[in-house]
Amino acid sequence: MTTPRVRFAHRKPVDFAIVGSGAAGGVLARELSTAGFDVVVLEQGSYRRAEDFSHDELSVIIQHEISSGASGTWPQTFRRAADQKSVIPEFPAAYYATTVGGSSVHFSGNYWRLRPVDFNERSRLGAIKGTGFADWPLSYDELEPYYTRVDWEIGVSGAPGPFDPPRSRPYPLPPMPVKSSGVLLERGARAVGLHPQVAPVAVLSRPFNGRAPCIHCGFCMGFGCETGAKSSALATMIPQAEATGRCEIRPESTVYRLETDGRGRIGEVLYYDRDGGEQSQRARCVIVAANGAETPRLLLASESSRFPDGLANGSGKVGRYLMFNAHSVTHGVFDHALNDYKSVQCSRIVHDFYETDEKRGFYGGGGIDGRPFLSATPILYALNGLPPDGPRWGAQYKARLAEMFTRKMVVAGSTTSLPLETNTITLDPELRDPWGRSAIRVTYRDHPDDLAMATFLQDRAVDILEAAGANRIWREPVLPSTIGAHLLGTCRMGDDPETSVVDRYHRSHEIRNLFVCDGSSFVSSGRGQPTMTIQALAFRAAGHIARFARAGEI
Amino acid sequence: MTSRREFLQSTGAVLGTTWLATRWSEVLATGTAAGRARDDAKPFVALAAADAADLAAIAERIIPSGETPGAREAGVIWFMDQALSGFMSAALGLVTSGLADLNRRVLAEGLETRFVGLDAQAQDRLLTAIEAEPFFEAVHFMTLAGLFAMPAHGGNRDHVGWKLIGFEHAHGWQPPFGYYDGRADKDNGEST
Repeated sequence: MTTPRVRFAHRKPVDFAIVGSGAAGGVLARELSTAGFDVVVLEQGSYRRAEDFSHDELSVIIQHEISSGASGTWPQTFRRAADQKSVIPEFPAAYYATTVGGSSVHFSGNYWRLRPVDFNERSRLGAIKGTGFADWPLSYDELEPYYTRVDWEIGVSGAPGPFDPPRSRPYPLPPMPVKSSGVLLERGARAVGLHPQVAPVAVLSRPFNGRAPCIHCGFCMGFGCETGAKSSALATMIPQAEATGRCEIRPESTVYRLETDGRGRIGEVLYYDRDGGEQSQRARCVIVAANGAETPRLLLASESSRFPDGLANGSGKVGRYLMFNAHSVTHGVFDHALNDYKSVQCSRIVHDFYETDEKRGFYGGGGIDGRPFLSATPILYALNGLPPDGPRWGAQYKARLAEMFTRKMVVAGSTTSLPLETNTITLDPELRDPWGRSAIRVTYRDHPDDLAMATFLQDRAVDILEAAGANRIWREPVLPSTIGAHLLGTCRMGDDPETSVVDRYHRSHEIRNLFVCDGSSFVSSGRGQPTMTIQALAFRAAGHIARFARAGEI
Repeated sequence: MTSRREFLQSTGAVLGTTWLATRWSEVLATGTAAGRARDDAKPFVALAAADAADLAAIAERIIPSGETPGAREAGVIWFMDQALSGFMSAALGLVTSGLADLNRRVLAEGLETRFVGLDAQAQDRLLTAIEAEPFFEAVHFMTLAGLFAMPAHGGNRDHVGWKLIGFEHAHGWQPPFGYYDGRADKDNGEST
C-alpha cells in the first residue's frame, strides 16, 4: 500500500465525497479534482494496482479474489419473483468487482456507444404494457461530445462500422488485431448477408498517454490487467485524479449509511474502515457511484424518520427497473486451432439487428460477437465449455477436453432488457454481510421479449457458425437470467420526480446535495455493453456538478 | 465493535455450506504448503491416507492416464488435500462421508477391499451409480480444478493439464493467434 498523495480530515467537510471508484466514480473524481475541488473517494475494495493482478484463475475467478461473491465478504440472495423465497446462489446474481477501479478493472472492455434510438425508443414505438419503458431525458446528440471525450481520455481501439451513430472525432487508436474468431465471424456473417464490423474495445492497440499497448495475454474477462493496457478507471482516471493533489482514494472503506441533517441535506458519509471501525467523512456534496446494485442498497439502507423509504426514494423507484441485458451463447468447433484464449474477448461484432423490428413480433434489439466467452481460461472451459451430451468423466471425456479447447469459439448475443418494476435490488431481511449491513437481494425475471430476442440472436448465431464452416454447433438453452454483470436502471433519470430518482443532471429529486451517477442512472438498457455510456454520463455529470458547485447551487 | 477478521470468520461459519466457498485469502498459504507437501512427501493435511488413496483413485477414473498424462500425473490429490484444508474446507465433511458411503457400496457387493483396490471396471460401475450426487460433483470439480489451476495450488504438475488441452501459458502473445487469422486470405483488419 503506497501512501496517498493527500489525506483529508474526516471532520472537516470536503467539497465532494464520492462513493465508489469505478467506471463512473473514477471519472467524477478526476474531473472534479482537476476542476479544483477537494474530493474523497470511498471504495470498499482494496487498492490493487497492475502489478497486484495475476493469471491465477482459481483465486481470481473461482474464489472471487477481486469480485462480489455470493457468500462470504459480499453476500447476496436471489429470487425470481417477490413471492419466492430468496436463496444464496452459488454464483453472485449481481456480479461486480470489489477493488479500486471497480468493474472497469475486470470487464472485457467491449465499448459500444448507445445509438439515438436507445434514448427515445419509447416515443418511436409507443408504450409497452406492463413495463416502465421510457425515454431518457437527454438525447444521443447531447451525449455525443462526452462519448468522444471518453474515447480520447481513456484510449479506445476501433474502426467505424456501417450502422454506427454519428461521431465527432475518429477513434484515437486503430483496431486490435483480428482473431481467428473474428475472421470466422466475418466469414459466416458475410455469407448470410450480414455486415460484420470491428469490435471497439477499451484496450490499447498502440501506446497511448504513456501507457503500453496490449500484449494479448488473453486474461481480460474477470481479471485485472497486469500491464495497464485495459483502459480501466484504475489505469486512466484514478492516477490523474490523485496527481492533482486534491483527490484522496480511500480503499477498504465500506459505506453503510448517508446521514442527513435537520435540513434534509446529507452531512456525512458513514463507513467502516478495514478493521471494522466506524468512521465518518463530512462533505458538502455526496455523489453515489457504487454501481446499480450497491447504489440502491445504500440509499435504501439510509432510511430515517424523515425519509422512511430510503433516500431519494419519494417515487418509490430506488432499486426498481433492474436491467441485466439478456444473453444467448452458441458454441462452434472448427477443424483447425483458433486459440481464442489469446488476446481480447472480441475482435468482430455484428450490429445488423440493433434496431427493434416489429416484424419479429416482439420488442428488442441486440448485438452479436465472436469470442471465447468462458472458454478463455482452462478451469471455466472444463466446467462450461463442452457440449452437454456425452460423458462427463472417463477416457472419452478426457479426449473431448483435449480436442476442443483450441478449436472452439462462441457466438454470443446480447440484447435489450425491458425495465420492469418487479426486477429489483432490495435489502435482504435476514442475511447480513460481515459488517452487519443487509445483504443485497436481487429479484429478477427477464421480460418474455428479452428472451425472445436472445433466442432470435441465437438462431442467427447458428446460421453464422454453419456458414463459417463449424463442424459442430450447440446451443446453450436461453433461460431466464440468474447472473447480471450489467447492473442498470435502479435509480433512473427523468424529469418527473414521481417516476424517476435523479434529474437530467444526476441530482436526486429530493436531496439537493445528493447526486447519483453510474449504471443505475440508465432509463433503457441499450443493447448489451453499457460501460462506455456510464463513463460518458459521468463526464457530462461532472461538468454540470462543477457548474452547480461554482454557482453555489449545491 | 467486532473486528473485520472476526466478522469474516463468523460469516464463514454461517455461510460456508456450499462447496464453492469463497475464502480466497487462505489459498495463498495453501499454495505454498502444497508445494512443500508434494516435495517432501509429507502426510496429507486434511485427508486420512486411506481416504486420499480412494479420492486419488476417483480422480484417476475421471481423468484417466493413458497416452497422455491424467489426474495422477497432475498430482490432483495434492490439490484436493490442500483445497479441503483451505478454501474448500467446508466441503470436507461431504467428501469424507461420500467416501464412507462409497466404501459401504463396495462392501455391499461382497468385495473385501476399499474403492482403491477395485479394478477399473468395478470402479466405473460404482461411480456411475453415484455420478448425480453432490459428493461426486465436488470430486469432479476438484479434479478439474486440480488439473487446470496454477501449479502453486498443488496440482497441474509440470503443466500437464494445460498441455493436455493445448493451453500455453505465456506472459503475452503476438498475432497471428490461430490458423484462421494466420492465413493470407483473412480479413486485413478493415471492415467494410
